[in-house]
Amino acid sequence: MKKLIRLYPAAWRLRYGLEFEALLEQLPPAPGTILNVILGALHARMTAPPAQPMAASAEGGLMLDFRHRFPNPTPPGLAAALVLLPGALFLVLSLLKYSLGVAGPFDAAAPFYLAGRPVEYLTFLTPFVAFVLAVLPVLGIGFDRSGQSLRGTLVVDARPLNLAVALVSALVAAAFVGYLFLENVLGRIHAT
Amino acid sequence: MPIGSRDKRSEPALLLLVSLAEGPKHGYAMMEDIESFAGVRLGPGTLYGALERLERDGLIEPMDSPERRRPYRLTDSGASALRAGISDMHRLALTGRRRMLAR
Repeated sequence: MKKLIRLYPAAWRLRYGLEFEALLEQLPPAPGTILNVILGALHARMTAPPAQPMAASAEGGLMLDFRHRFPNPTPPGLAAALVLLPGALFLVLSLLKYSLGVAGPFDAAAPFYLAGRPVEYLTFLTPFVAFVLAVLPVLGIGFDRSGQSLRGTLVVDARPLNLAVALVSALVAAAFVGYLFLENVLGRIHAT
Repeated sequence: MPIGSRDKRSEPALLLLVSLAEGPKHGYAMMEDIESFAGVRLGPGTLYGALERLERDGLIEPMDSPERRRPYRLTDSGASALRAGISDMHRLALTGRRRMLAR
């Protein structure tokens, strides 16, 4: 059960890890206790403060920091999930029809999705827009020049909602691009 | 922190404050104590979620300990918040009792 402590954010573990571990050692590993620890870790991750920026160099110099632009990344994460929905649904319906032979849901939605070029382009763009919306608020890029050296830092806040939406968006986008590649590039090669 | 509020999250926090009103305790002792006086078994995740909030709000503070189990105690702000919370609950109980007797 002690391994579950790894689910908590690093800063939390640094502060409470040892005493929490001591407490878990005294408790029997019941399913309810395990679930409670997992939910506690999720809550700790969702309420954790944003990652602290690294200290500027002692010598001073240029310090650019694009972190902390979004103190609460949950609303853009939810917006990304909404934006992703039509594209992801189209992919699922297409897979149902062309991979499993269940054509009903796709055929029912086809009048909407295939209403015209603009709708098709918008559907194609949804995973890309959703990815940017989900990732931007949890991404931090900093540049710190100390003396002659320029140091870059990249920080990603581990927000489960944003990262999950970003992952699904990337998968849907990859499926769309893969389909376009197969259809247009390989299809033309075959045709010639 | 509004201990007397009806916020669901404040309930474990109130139980912890009541437990610590007796004296400093570490996590496991708090769980046992709360179960004995309130009949509620707080899970470890719930317990430490509430402890973290109370510490952040300055209502409890950790004490030095040679072992991994760290005891916590009420701060003056914590004692005031608990008094206010108990007073709210007392008023609520009195009102409920009076209205039930009048039925």
